[in-house]
Amino acid sequence: MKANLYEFLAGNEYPGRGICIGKTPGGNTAVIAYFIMGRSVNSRNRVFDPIDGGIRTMAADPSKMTDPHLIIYNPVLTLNKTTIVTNGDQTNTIYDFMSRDQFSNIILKRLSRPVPLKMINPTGRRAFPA
Amino acid sequence: MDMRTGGYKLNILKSCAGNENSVQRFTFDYLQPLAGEGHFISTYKCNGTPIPSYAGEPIHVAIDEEDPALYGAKLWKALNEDNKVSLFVRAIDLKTQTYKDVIINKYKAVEE
Repeated sequence: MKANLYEFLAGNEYPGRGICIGKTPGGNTAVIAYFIMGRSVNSRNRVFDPIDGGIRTMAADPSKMTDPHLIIYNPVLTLNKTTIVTNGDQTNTIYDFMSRDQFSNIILKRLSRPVPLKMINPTGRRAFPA
Repeated sequence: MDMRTGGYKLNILKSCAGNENSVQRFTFDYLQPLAGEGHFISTYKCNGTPIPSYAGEPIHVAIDEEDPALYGAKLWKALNEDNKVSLFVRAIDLKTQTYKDVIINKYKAVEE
């Protein structure tokens, strides 16, 4: 039984921060929604600001910010063909780990190429005639 | 979310019944999402003192809009007027991996 998210949210005054991921009815588009809510002045004092591949949270009024901890972070980042969404600075943690993983995979692919690495000079050509 | 297939993973990190000495991680892996469907998680179950953490599986929800601006407008309208702060919606074309982002902010950034 699929829930109606609009009704669910309308009947819930404070779910906090939420993530919804899925596909549109046509099936060719994926959608990601992320929202933040706040009960205190400090946590309401925020806006989403676009950055390369995603968004960051910013204080709407920097002079009113009492504690940036937990409220200033990158909720959304894009790494190649992956969108990462979290409710804290773990977006960056995941991004960093995935970058390292992808880098390791690329290195592994290079190492398993038919031409051994030691046979390749720095320009990528064979150092010795075959 | 894999922008080629639309597959996604959701992870919930929380303490065991509020005990900070016992961390729990729940990962849900949606490899083949269906058209018009999605999953939702949030930090809290609802308002309260103390506020209760989210519990259980992600909620299986219907997605009824193609357009991120229309979808965003409906979600924004549904969120509690006093407590909502900002909403982000991204629509990804799975064939090209291009995306369109929509941002709605309740408050305006003060110009510095």
